[in-house]
Amino acid sequence: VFTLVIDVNEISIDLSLEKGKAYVLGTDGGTGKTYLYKLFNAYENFGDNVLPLTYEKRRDDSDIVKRINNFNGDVVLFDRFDLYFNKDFVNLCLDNGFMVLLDLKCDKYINSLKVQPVNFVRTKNRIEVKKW
Amino acid sequence: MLRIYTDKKLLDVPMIYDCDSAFEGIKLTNIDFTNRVLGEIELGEYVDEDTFKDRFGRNMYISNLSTSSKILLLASKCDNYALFCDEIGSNAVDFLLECINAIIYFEGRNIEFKTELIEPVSYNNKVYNTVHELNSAIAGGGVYIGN
Repeated sequence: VFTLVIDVNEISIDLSLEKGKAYVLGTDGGTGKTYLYKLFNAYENFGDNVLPLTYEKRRDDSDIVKRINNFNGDVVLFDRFDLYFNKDFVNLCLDNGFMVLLDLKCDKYINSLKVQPVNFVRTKNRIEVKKW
Repeated sequence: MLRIYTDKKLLDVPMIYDCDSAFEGIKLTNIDFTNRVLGEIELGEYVDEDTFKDRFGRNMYISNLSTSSKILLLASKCDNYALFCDEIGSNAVDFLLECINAIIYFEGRNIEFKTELIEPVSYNNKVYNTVHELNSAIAGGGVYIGN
């Protein structure tokens, strides 16, 4: 198990999961998945071991592939992945040994991947993501 | 009447794909539906038209609402666009049945409603009167095969 603890804006994020595996952050709404993306996005400005990706209307797939290929860190988060799902993105991340976190709800997409659910616990100053 | 689609070809209105962005500019109204969405999805409460209290008691701008809440609040107001709802959380799906003028589209979700219909619902342009009929139709791709 690889553990990454980072602090962003007085929020501690504790990820204790395996690298080279993909995890679905749960299918309920309001749990804080996009909030986690925002924290990662803030952290990306001064850290280099997380790659947060979200839906952008005018972006093509090659841009995402380029960002993944240029990434040298540990964790890739796909926020709102239902809107731009591409299995190849996940496989590229896994081939590179990254830990992959997915905000993904579409059953047909989830079923097409080898993913595991995680325990996503959010308190006022802490987000904890661990294996069930 | 709430109109649900899984067949894109049947849509007769444009679709809003990015409901999160479409929520920009929307104001909260202090009505029962809004309060229940904020309570059950965000575990928070209504403050005013631009802010809500989150699950930790912090006042937040409504841009910080979850995508599920944004979809629901948009669905309660919008009747001239179809809303792409694959992003909605499992715990928020049944609230859609209360959005009686909404037009919603699912592409890859296995949707099953748990609560009884408030009024008949159209699914791929066929009308269903009970949640059992509706769920059967959705599971079977649009054909209700009975008990």
